[in-house]
Formats: sequence, C-alpha cells, structure tokens
Amino acid sequence: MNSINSEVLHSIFRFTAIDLKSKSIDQIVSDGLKLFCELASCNYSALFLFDKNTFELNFYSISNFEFVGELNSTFEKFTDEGIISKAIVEGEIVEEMVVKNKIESFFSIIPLNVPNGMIGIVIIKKNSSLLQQENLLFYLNGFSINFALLLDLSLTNIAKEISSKSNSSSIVNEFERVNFDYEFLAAVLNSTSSGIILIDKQTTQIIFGNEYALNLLAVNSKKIIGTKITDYFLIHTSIASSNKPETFDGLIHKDDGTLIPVLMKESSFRYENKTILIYSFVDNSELKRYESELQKAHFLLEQRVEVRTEQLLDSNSRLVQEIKNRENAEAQLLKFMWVVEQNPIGILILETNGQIRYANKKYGEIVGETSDKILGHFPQFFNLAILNISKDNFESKVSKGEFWKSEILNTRKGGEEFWMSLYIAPIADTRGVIINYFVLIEEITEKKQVLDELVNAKLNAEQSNKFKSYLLANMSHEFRTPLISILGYAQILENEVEDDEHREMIDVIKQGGNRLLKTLDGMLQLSDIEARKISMKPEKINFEQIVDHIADKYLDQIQEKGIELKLNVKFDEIFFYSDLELLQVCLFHIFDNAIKFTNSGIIALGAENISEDGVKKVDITVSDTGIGIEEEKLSHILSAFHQGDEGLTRNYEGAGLGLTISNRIVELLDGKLKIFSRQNEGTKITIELPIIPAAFQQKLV
Amino acid sequence: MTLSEKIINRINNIPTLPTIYETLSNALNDPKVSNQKIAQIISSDQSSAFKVLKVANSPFFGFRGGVDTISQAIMYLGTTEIRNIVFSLSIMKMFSKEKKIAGLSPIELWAHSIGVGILTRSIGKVIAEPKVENYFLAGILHDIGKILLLQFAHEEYNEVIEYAEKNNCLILQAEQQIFGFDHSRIGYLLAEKWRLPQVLKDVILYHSTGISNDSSRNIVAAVHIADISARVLKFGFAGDNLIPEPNIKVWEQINLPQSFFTTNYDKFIDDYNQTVQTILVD
Repeated sequence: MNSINSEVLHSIFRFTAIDLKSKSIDQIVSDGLKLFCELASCNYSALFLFDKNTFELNFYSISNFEFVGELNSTFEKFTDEGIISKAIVEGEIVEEMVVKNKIESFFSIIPLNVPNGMIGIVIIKKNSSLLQQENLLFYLNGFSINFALLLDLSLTNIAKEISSKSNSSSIVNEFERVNFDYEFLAAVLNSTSSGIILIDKQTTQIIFGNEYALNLLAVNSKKIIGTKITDYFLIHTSIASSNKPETFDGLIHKDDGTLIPVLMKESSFRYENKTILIYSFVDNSELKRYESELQKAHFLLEQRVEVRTEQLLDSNSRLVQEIKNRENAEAQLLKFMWVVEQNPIGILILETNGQIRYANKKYGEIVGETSDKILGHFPQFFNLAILNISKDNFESKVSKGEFWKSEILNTRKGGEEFWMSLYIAPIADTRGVIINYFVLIEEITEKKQVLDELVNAKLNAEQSNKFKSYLLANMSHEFRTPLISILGYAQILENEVEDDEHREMIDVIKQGGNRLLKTLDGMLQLSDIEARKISMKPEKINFEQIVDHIADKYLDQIQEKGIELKLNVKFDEIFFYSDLELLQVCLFHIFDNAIKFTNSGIIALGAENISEDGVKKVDITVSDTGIGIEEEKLSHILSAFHQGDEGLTRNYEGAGLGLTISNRIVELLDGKLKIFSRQNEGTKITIELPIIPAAFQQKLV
Repeated sequence: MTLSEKIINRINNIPTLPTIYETLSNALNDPKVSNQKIAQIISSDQSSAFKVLKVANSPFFGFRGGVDTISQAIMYLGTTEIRNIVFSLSIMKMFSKEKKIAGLSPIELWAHSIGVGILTRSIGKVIAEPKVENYFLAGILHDIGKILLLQFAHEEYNEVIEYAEKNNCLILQAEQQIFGFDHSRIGYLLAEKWRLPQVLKDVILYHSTGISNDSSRNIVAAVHIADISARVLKFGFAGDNLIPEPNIKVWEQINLPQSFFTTNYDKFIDDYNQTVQTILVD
C-alpha cells in the first residue's frame, strides 16, 4: 500500500467528473468502467451496486456487454463460493484465479467502501501480471478516497436511487451537484499556479499532488501517492506545526541533485476522523536568484567601497602630511622673510639686467629712497662696466657661481657720500642658469672711519714705544758715564781719605752709585732685549762651565750668609744647545734674587734632560728656602720693576728687574720660565728650554 | 585485491585539500598576518567570498545581515571561524551532489552534516567551551567518509544502503558487514591525507562512540550527541532511519540542561532551514 498511483486516482476523478448534461447516467458509468479497463489493461470491468433494502448486489453496468454472460456465471460462481461476501465483509480487495478450458484468468473483486458502509463492488477480469496486480490496489484506494472525499455520503443515496431505478431525474440532479463540487475543486487545484500536496497526517503519506506540484517535483503522478514529503523537501517542515501560519522557505531537492527554493505554506483540515495537511508552495528560485544577485552586487559594491575607502584614507593621510609640510614650509618661509625684511643689512634681489625685484627695509634706509622708487628701478651701483673694472672681474666670478665683493663710495639721495660694502652672488635655477642676483649692502662709512683711527693710533703707539726704547738706551748711557766718574772718584777718594766719618760717607756714595749702576745695567739689558739688539750665538752648552761661573761669582756671598749651596746635576747627562751668555745672564739674575731673599737654608741648582710628550727638553731649576712670594703677586711678578715686597717698607734692595729680564731671555731662548712659591717657605724657579731653540735650528744645520 | 582494498585504493586518488584552505592556514600561521591580508585571500574568489559572507550573515552565526564585507566578517567571527567556513564551503563544492543512490543523495547527507554542525556548535556553546570555532566544521566533516564512499564506491554503497534498509540496521553496521570497515575509517584516511588538525581527525574517527582522548573529548562528545539529535529532528538524511541510543557516558559527560532541546527547538529548526538554504543553494 505504500505506493499509490496518482494517475489512477486522477482517472477516478475524471470518471466522476464526466459531464452529466451531455450523457445519460448509464453512459457515464459505462464510460468509467471502460476507462478502468484501459488503465488496468483488463478484459472487462463491471459494477454491481448494493441495494440496502433487499441486501442484494444488483448488476448495473459492464464495460463490454459481450461478456455479460460470462460475468453472470462468474458472479454466480463467486457468490456460491462466498468470495463476494468475503470481499464485502473484509472490505478488502479479493483476487481470484479461474481456470477454464486450461486457460487461467484473473478476477479482482473490489469492494467500494465509504465511511458509512458498502455501496457496491467492481469485478474486473484480466490476464494477470504483477503490474496490474498493483494497479488494482490503486483502484481500491482510488475509489475509496474518491468516494470518501468527494462523493461523500450522497453517493450512497444515489446508488440506492440507481438500484431502484426510479425517479431518475432527481438522481441526475444530485449527481450533478456532487460532480460539480469535485469538478470545481479539481479544476481549481490543477489550474492554480502553485503546487499543492495533500498529506494524511496520521500515515504522513502523500495522498494527492496537483499538476504544478508534480511538475516541480519532477515526479510521475503514479509515484507520488504514498511517498513522504521528506523525500522531496530538504527543509524541515515541522516549523509550521508550532503554530506559525506564515509562509516559510522550503527547498525541493530533485533526484538529479538540483535544488529549487520554494515559498511554502502549511494548513490543514479535518475530514471525518482524518487530518489532512495541505502544503502549498510556489517556485521561488527566480526571486531567490534576484535576491542573491542583489546581495552579490551589494557585496561587490561594499568590497569596492572598502578598497576605495582604504585608498582614500591613505591619500588623505598623505594629503594631511603634505598640508602640514607646506604649513611648516610657509612658516619657515615667513620666518626667513622676516629675517630678510628686518635684517640690518640691505638685501636686494635683482633681475639679471639689474632691475630691482626685491629690496628690504634697510636698503631703502641706506640709499634714502622710498620703496616706490626702488622696485623695478636700477640701483646706482649696478653698472656692469664699473663692476668689471674692479680688481675682481664681476662677470667671470658670478658666472662660476662665486660671489663678488667690493667696497664702493656711493651717493645718497640728498647728495651725501657714503661708503658701502657690496656682496653680489648669483641665484641659479636647477639647470645652473643664472636667473637673479642676490645683493647684500652694508653701510661702512663709520666703520671705515673707526678703522682709520685705529690704524693711526697703532702707528702712533709703535712710534712712541720705539722712541721710548731709543730714549732709554741713550739715556742709560747718559746716566752711566757720569756715574762711572762718580764711582771712580769715590774709589780714589776712599783711598785718600783717612777720616772714618768721611770714609763712611764715601762708602754710602759707592753703595748708592753701585745700586744705580746695577739698575741702569738692568735697564740697558732690558731695552736691548726689547729692541732685539741682542744677537744670539748658539752653541753646545757646557753646564759645568756655567756652574763654575756661578760658583766664582756667588760662593763668597753664599758662604758669608751661611747658606748651603746644593748641586743636583749630572753634568755628563746634560745636553742642549743655547746661547751661553744669555743663559748665564739669566741664571745670574735668578741667583741674585735667591741669595738676596734667602737668609738661611739651602739654595739648590738642578738640571736634567727630560722628554715631555715626545719633545726633548732641558729643565734648569733654582730653588731656595727664602721669604717666598705672596700668592696674589705671583701672577705679575714677571713684569718690569716688580718685587715681592713693595712700597716704602722694602727690606731688600734692587729694582726687581732681574726676573723680568730672566723671563725675557728665556722667551728669546724659546723656553718657558715658571715660578712656584709659597710665602716664608721658599721659591722655586724652573727654566724649561728646548734641546735646540727653533731660531737656532737652521743655523746649526 | 579485496573489495575494501579496491575502495581504499580508489579513495587514494581523491582530490587534494582545497588550495584556499591551505593558503589560508599558511597565512594564519604567520602571527604577523593582518586581517586585511586574510580578507584579500578570501576575496580572491569572489563567488566563494560572497557565499562566506552569506553564511556569516545567517542567524546561526548571529549577524543577521549586519556583515557587509569579508574584513567585517573576520572582525566579528575571527579568522579561525572564517577559515573553517571557507573550508566547509569548498569541501561541499568539491564533491558531486548528483550521485544519488537508492535512498541516499549527497544533498541529504550534506543537509544532515549541516544539521550536525549547527547542533554541535550550539552544544559547544552550552557546555561553555571557550573555543567553538572548530565545532561547526566538526559537524560538517564528521560523515565525510560517507560522502567519499558515495562518490568513489557508488555501486557498492548502493548495496550498503539496501542492506541497512532490509536489515533495519545502522548504516555503520551495514558498511562493516559489506566492506569490512566503515565510513569513519575512510574519513580518517582522508583527514590524514589532508593533514587536518588532530581534533577533527578524532571527530571523524570517534563520533559514533563519542569517546575520545582529553584534547578532543568535548568536541567528539558534542558531535556524537548532535549526530543523534539531528536524526531525531530529521535534519537531512544520514542513510538510515534508525535513531541510535546515545552513549550514556557521553551524555552524562556533556550534561546538557534538561530543557536544552525543548527551549531551542524552534531556533534549531530555523537555523537549520536558513543555513541549508544559504549553503546549499547556489
């Protein structure tokens, strides 16, 4: 029972829907039976209707009247054998085989059941085959459903009427009404442009599918009956069972793998004790495709928008950066413009023909013109002929990209003359072609005046210094000559005078004279040195000889004062070139001071060859344990006429020229004189001399 | 050569892993890769990119029409989930949907797999699994062996279906009876060949018992329950009409809330219908 042929069911509908107006009732039934015959490919089919009054089955019609005789005998046989009653009681189709003259023939006895009872039977004779056997099942079902759904109970009445064969016009009327209902329903279902499937809710089997449904599901009408909705639909349909009357999306899948989206609606009705589900649906693939296309277009658009947005964001950020850069550049330019405009130097930009393209404020001030007389005009100085006459050829300079400068005497608007410095540089484009000139102008009249004065002052100073040295050298001699006479005669007088008092006086004269002579000698020496009158003779110094001279000169004095003389010299290790005489003079002055300012203790003389930063030198050191020098006086102790103890309260004689002279000599000898001293502790003087003074190097070679 | 050897031999010639999955996986292995780059790879095939977007927009993934571009989809769902969607779609595209045999068509099987995917992911969310990205893909792949057999052992599989129908047994048992192995074994071979992550291999191999080792314990259990639930809910068709009893241990392990299926019933059906529409209809 699982596969009911819908085509057969359909045929039954068609059978009952034959136009009653054009045919007699007999004709209709006869046509229907013929149709059954065709469909089941059988010999004949015959209809017996049940008479409720007599409880008898009465023959009504046969598809082919030739077989009436055979039918009658067979019917009698079946009745006798209880086959007919079996079919009626069990309500099921009965199959019988009859062998007659060794020929097998097959009969189907089909009870026509409606909910209210039996209405009759159909007897079919056929040559058996499996397929036909199956078809018979369809008959049963087809009749039953057909009668149940459409003919309703009225057909029972009709059958009753037909069986009594009386009052035929009312039968026709009644039949007409029923068939009109069905005709209407079938026509409506088949003409509608949506698929309709009817399902018995209990068995969940499909009992009907209209033409549209069959087309869409690509199912043969025979096959759909008895199948299940899940065989065709992928979408879960029970969504509608949870009281959702609205339409929902369904999905038909065909055997070939294609899918058809449909719009579905589920509803149901009750018939007798059965619930019939109605699924109606329309092909939605067109709409879905449009929807999908639309979505696709939307997607592509969004995609493009995204890409474009990114590009825009990117270019926007670049634009923002550019704007920033420009703003910065403008600000920078503004600053530069300000610097140029407010510059205390006149600034011009000229066309190559000399026309002024730009001039800052200062330029106007310098030339005394208002700006309207400046821009577009030619500056006075810009005359190529004049410019080229100057010692630097203007054109050759600027054509090489170099600047040209000069000082020019110019005339201001009012006729006043003034000096200005000119600085002209070319401005070239990217190809190196000169497009403008850049000019800096500074008024230098005042500067020039000051410079002139300065030069004059310097000349004057040099002059007067020369004069001073000259005066000093000459004056010293002027002093010296009479002083020698005074000292000479004082010596003579000392020998002559016997009176002690006079001798003392002469001694004072001698002392004063000697001191004056010493000072004069010092001054002479100093002036000689400053006037560079001393010529140096380089020679290899024998330091032992120097020490001998010092000893000769000072040993008596030292011993007299009770001072110890210490020598820290390894003579054979001392080696250097210098001017012996000058070096000796220098050391004598230092010793003079050392002995003068030391009352007790030691005077030490040292000398050694040292190497400092790869330069070979000789250090000569004289240290004493004398009164020392105050810290604040150390810095200017080397200037002329200076002594540690100054003022009227001098305890020690001497003009203090010794150190000054020593310092100058050491400088002449290319060396350095350094003084280290602490008051009341002593003084240490170091003479740092090169092995060979630079001035001697050539002479020595 | 035995029948099973023949079949396995045939399956050895199956197509390689969809290139887009490999490209995506490689790109995702680079920790510095940008979402933009991933979006570019997916968008390189516009029709599949569009489908990815459609899936991402389906109510099941929670963005009803709110996702307009692949980059947004990646932002909302994460790269792994998107990659898995791409993978699911490309696998379904790989296999023919036409080879229908007796009572089973690939379409119905895919519909079943989609149903299992939806249920697996929903279960994953309920059991507070922190990473459910693989759960949908696990459902899609769990019966990949059946798809393969349907495709490459078409004739023989017909017998299996008939055997299952005649003996009223699970298709798994029918496979074992006729082939001597079942679809989980075949699916595992494919997973090996494609070098899928271990969790997915475990899902394919163990979904019928639901028992696996620690790392894939939850996902395999979820697929096991989802597979049976999909049969109850009539999501697609897995090849037989039986509803196997769930493994009680797995059921207890998953420990779903009592009202899980009743409260979510409508949503499951809605999700299933929508997702099947979205994925299967071109």
